[in-house]
Amino acid sequence: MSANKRTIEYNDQIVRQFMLASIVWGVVGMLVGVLIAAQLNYKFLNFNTEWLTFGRLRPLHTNAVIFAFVGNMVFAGVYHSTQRLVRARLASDFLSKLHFWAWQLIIVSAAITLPLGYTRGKEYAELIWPINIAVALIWVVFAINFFWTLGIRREKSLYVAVWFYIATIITVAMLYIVNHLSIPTSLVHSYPIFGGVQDALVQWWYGHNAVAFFLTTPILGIMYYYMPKAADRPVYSYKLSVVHFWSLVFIYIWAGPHHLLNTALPEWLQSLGMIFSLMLWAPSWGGMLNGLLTLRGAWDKLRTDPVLKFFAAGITFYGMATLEGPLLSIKSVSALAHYTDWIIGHVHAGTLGWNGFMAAGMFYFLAPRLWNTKLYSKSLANLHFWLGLVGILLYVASMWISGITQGLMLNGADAKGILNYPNFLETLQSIRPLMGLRIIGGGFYLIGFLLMAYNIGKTISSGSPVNGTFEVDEDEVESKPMGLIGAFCGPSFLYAVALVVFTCLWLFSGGVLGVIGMVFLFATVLVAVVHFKASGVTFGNWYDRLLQSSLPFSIFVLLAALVGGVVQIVPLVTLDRESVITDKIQKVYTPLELEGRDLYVSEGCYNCHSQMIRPFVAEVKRYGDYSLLGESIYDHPYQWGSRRIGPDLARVGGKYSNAWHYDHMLEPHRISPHSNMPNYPWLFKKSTNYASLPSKISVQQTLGVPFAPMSDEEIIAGAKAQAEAIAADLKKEGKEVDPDTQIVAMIAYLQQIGKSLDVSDTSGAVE
Amino acid sequence: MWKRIPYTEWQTLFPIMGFVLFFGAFVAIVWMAVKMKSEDSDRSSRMPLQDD
Repeated sequence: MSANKRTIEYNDQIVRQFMLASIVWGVVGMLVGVLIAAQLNYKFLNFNTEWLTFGRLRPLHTNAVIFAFVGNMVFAGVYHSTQRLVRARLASDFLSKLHFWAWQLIIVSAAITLPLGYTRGKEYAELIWPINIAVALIWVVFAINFFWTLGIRREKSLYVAVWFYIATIITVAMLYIVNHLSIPTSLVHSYPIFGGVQDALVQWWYGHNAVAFFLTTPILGIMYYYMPKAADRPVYSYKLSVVHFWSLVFIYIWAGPHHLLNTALPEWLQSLGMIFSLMLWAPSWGGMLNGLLTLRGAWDKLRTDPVLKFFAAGITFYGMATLEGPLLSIKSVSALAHYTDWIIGHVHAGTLGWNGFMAAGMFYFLAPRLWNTKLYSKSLANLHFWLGLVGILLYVASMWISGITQGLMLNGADAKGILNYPNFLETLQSIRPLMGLRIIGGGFYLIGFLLMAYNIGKTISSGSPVNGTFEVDEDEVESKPMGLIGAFCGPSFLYAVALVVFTCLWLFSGGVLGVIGMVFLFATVLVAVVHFKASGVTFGNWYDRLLQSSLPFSIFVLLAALVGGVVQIVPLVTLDRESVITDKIQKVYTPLELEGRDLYVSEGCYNCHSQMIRPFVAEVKRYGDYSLLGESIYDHPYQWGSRRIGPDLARVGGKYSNAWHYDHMLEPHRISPHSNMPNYPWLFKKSTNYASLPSKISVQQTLGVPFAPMSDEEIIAGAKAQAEAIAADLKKEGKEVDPDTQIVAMIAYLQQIGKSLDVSDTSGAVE
Repeated sequence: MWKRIPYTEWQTLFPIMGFVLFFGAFVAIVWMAVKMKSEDSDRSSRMPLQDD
């Protein structure tokens, strides 16, 4: 080593820790996945135990695989590749350790609280508010560590993988914070600040983009780094990666409303969601092709290299999932597929195929390098690949067939509107074999994953941990970064802003202003061309310098991601909700009904039951009048749901007697033969928490729900009086029940669902 | 009968302006990518291979 050079060691210890954590949590998350899949066919697997029921375990599965398995994998990949791409050790060992251990603590907290029924009742956003705050804080720790590392880097230009990491960090923070805004009522309970349609829109803006910016963009960054490494080939087209990145970041954020097609969401938002989802085809496939074509000239390595095998298959699944996603976002296709297993199949093509296989490829790549040894067994890795591949195909194919079957059966009606399959359970029975096949597919995938855990464990035991190193030239002179002023006051940016402003003025203003806009637009183009020609400055120069400046680059990413959210969310949440409802408006819950609703949320009923009847003949015939915008306006959180493992409940209020609900909650299959709904015996033993009601109602009032003014005593007395009335009614039917048990509150809520008033009769909105 | 949320005129402009912004940015990015010098593009595409 020369005198002016020194060796710097990467922090690979943190990479090893995140990688091992990902494998451990992956096993846990997938094991729970197989269990809940089996519960749908074999209801005894709910064990009549509250913390083992499907409704509580399904959020555990989704949170474990997203935030624990993929999350830890992403952190491992980001920390490993970023250090090498920017030629700098991670800025802070302390922050790295804090990030790791706090993230594991968050996961453990989630694994305890979710089965206990502590939930916010929104998919992939179930964790209670103290954990939400911890997640946000630790994400900030991650961001500081990452951007600090960029700040001390020795590589001037930021590689495309780092762009994707920047987009991930910024956008996930924005999505997570907005969708988790809540007001606590206790240490373990809160109400989201948005309600009804607003909550639905914000939820799927977050939910869809959790897929986009937690499960996709970081993995794309990982693809852009590890695929060239494994293939020993440069990226197929860097130019394509530029277009891929910016198009994806800009378009993805708009597509959330495709989760709410044909619902009561305003039409213009549904159209926006559908159109932007279709537009996503192009950048997604651009990325897929860029990844696969990086293998050009190295396809033969697929036969022998398990890493490339997993990457090639993972990227192919990315392509297939991103072909299917936009297809499902077409309103007429969604009419068939929404609420069915087709969506479950689509999601698992992405998670098992794209996320799982990319993770496996990365782990097989990293393990020998991080422990300075050889992979224990290529044969086991190959077996893992084939087990996983067959598992995914069995899973996805069975869910496609199941979804289409159930969709056709549920939507089937003759010309007179008579349902072909009036009994919901008939449709469930028809897909049971397919649900069984799903268990086998998931089981295959899990076995493959366990083989990987064993293989990597043996690999680790045959080596010893080693950290990568690199040499630094001490005399290296850094170029001056662009900075915020250079980025936002440079001619390229100013011309671009002027072009957008004048285009908007021309297109959207009438009369003189429109003419002025047109004239100035052409003048700006002319001036820009002359200026660029005369000075030799180009737009590319500006962009190249932007890539050397992480702060301005990050701000541009934030702006690109913000546009879609602002356009969709601001108009909807700024409207005075009552003033724009012109049809039916929801009746405000009584205190007991509110408590029953919280139990409904806590039990995770939304995992199987929707509360949103779409305006289709078959749905109206099966469930009742289609749902109107105002009918869930006071629901914090909204409970429209996304899957119908059981029937829609939007009009269940008053449909059955109190005694029917009593029997049904105790032993559903006795009332509904072949039902796969779990029994809820604990609701008949546990007491209603009347004492929590005053603070809950106070928060609801703060959120704008027009509860009548009541003292704490009146709230509790009112709840007890209603409970006694329901208990008395049950007694008439021969059901002896303590009025203070939770089942009574649950019945009170179920009997209220779908009760609404004509908007002209607002005086009756509050009882 | 059934009506969806009406929204005022300024709100109708949001999606359209969003489209304009997108297409403006998209054209600029594509233009920049197309005009990128081959040597810059080649150098960048090899960055993952440089740390070996």
